[in-house]
Amino acid sequence: MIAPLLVCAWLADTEVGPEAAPPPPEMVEGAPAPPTAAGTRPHAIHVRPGIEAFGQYALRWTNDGQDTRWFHQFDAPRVHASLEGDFDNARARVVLEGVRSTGEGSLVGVAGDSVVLRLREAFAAYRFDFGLEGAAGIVPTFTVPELDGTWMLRVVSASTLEVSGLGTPADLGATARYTLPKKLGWVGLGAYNGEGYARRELNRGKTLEGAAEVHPLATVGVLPLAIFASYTYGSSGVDSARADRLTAGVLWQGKKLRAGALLTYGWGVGPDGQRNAVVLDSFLRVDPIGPLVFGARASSWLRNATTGDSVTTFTVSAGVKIAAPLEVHIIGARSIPSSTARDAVPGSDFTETRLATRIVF
Amino acid sequence: MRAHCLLLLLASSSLVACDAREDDARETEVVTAMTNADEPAIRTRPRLSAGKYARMSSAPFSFFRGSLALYVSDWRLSRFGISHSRFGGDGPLVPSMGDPHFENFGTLQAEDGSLGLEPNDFDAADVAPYLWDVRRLATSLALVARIGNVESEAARAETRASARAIARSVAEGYVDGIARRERGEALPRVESGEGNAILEDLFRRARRDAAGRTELESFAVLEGGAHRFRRGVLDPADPSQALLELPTFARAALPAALEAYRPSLVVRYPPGYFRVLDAVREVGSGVSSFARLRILVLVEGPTAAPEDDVIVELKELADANLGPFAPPGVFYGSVKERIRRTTTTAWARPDGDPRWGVTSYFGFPAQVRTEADGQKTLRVSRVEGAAGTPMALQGLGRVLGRILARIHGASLADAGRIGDAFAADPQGFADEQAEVADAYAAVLEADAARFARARTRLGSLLGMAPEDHRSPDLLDLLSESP
Repeated sequence: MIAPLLVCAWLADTEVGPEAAPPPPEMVEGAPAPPTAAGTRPHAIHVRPGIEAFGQYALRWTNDGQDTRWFHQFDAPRVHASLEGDFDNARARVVLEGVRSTGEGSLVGVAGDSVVLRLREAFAAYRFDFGLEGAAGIVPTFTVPELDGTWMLRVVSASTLEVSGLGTPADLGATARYTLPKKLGWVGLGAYNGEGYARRELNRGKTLEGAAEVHPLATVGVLPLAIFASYTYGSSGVDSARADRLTAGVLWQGKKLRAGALLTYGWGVGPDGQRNAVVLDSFLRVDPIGPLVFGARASSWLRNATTGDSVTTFTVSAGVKIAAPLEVHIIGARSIPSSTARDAVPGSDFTETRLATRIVF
Repeated sequence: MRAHCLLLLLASSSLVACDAREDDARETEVVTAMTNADEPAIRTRPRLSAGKYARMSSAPFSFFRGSLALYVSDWRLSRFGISHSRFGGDGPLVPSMGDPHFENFGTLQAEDGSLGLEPNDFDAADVAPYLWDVRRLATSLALVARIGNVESEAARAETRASARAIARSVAEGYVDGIARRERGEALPRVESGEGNAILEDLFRRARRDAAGRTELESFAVLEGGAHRFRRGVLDPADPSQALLELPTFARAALPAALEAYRPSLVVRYPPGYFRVLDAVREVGSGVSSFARLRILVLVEGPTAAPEDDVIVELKELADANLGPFAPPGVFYGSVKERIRRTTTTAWARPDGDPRWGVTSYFGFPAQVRTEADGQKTLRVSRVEGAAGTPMALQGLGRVLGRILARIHGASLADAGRIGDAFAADPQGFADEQAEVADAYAAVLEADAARFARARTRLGSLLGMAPEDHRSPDLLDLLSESP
């Protein structure tokens, strides 16, 4: 997987002219190299740390048909710490994320059920001057980050594609992304293990993702309008259960208004390779005046495209930017399952209110 | 040069494109559900996991016992209508056995020596919708009806034809039990066969072996006035079951584990009662928990005399892995608390097995229980002759359904909520459960064959690879050493 990237980098290196900066000292005469070279090279000064963290209080009322139960808790749904370095056209990024050491419903975890750190992204990338960037490692995929990045309100809710398990924001693999000239968008191709970034590879098949974001009116000054489409040809599990996804939609990526309406069709859901699922997702973010931010999202996840087994969710939020890096949002959400989904996933019929903060450095 | 780079990337991508995907999607689904759930065990204890899968491949009911993860997956995906109901599949949430089935019930001997029919496996006990248990239990009876009577095709044809009625009997017993709990009646402990051929056979054998303390003879030998466990394969007909030498460090940790376990018991035993006389690693027991650590411990008992020595089994515990059934997704503070609370709730009397408690062993949560031949489990292999008639199975179904109602209805408030769910149409409720369970049992019978086929195709670990670097001590403890 990394080989093509290395070859590309080597080929690119042969094009570097005599005016390029001299390489840093890599070979030390008469001494062994350090056990890990991280932080020992002169260009380590180009590494920048970063933080993104969400903190929230959530109060949820769950309806099981007869009773309504409530539960409330403080949580830190996202804790990301990043290091990013770039030098010449090379770039590296490592993102650590905090997660519970067990899944929900589990009692056996690490030191109780501590929040532990794991890798969310860890990749090396090389950007050619003509607009192509290749990356390898634990890389962001194209589709989920596109939805999150357009809405820019991940603190309010994750994309329905991610919540449904039909998409993952990162995976082990390699990507190539070509940025079109004249701000027309980008096209990308990725090859991944296909099990997501939290699991190791389980089968010989690899998952391929092709994606494109096109701004058709960029040349006439309407830059925010974008059309996005992606197709994932994938498999998951030891027996290569089908996991193909087609996503297409329209986006608006403005400074005051950001919105999207997308449809995802999935062939294969979890272990059931014959089941098809559909996600309809629409969202809106408005930054009307000053520090105010408003968001809304409506989504429907058809867990089984042929039976209408579905979960529909409505989310609204109002937020304020207290300081440049800090936002506070109040959020209301209502999840309405069909009767089949309610039976299969007890707890999916709920109303929730949250107070959430987001800080980014 | 740049064009070469692009071509190279594209070519490499096509080279790694997907394998051909399997035609039998259900076979893939079975394999995926199992390996997703078992991955940690497969990675860290491959030999034991391979043993589990070999056992699951040996018979349809063994497959059923080992495939709770498939039930979880099918429930979540609403496969075969297993989670859908006119009577509220999502609730009420109740204290659940998690995995109630025909072979998870048997006799337990209380402190006064009396025997009672009780649930005897709480590995998956948690909080779940009431229908979760009802359908799992009804399905198991329908499956027994389909595959029992191994010796007689004619008898098997008869029970197969009655599978739906047999599954229905579980729901009937459950409805009756919940109604009685709603009225505030106690559902008494089942202490005899009550004329049912299956239960008569169970209690007869249990009383015989309880009186003879035959486990001391089965598992141990008397040498120089003291009992000592046998080592090796005890039954040549089943070489997968064996008692193995326990590593010294593992033996040394037992007294502390047993001392920590003593306070979890409802009966107060003196410290000397659990003085360790001998201990062995037990392999090849169970199906679902085949890969878990099990140790048989011979302890002193009431006196120093060898006749009243007692054998207890220490078994590693793990998560129930049913949920989450929100809110809040976790209903107990620890695995040990989950087991301790569900056992005392489930049994008709708190000392159902007075030596059933919990402890920690090398950081593993563990359960300790009596290992005695008088504690017999219902077995599909005994469903033959008089114990293999539709009437016997229906009678048993009603009894087990009532026991389940007793567990779910331990709180009168819960009993009321459950009763409300089907009060308008109890007959329709029983019909629905019978229909779903019978249909699902047919799927599982075919799934057992799919699983065996997949194991042949993918290998003993279903295509998953073990971890390269594992702790030597853990390997010794689990008898996984090369």
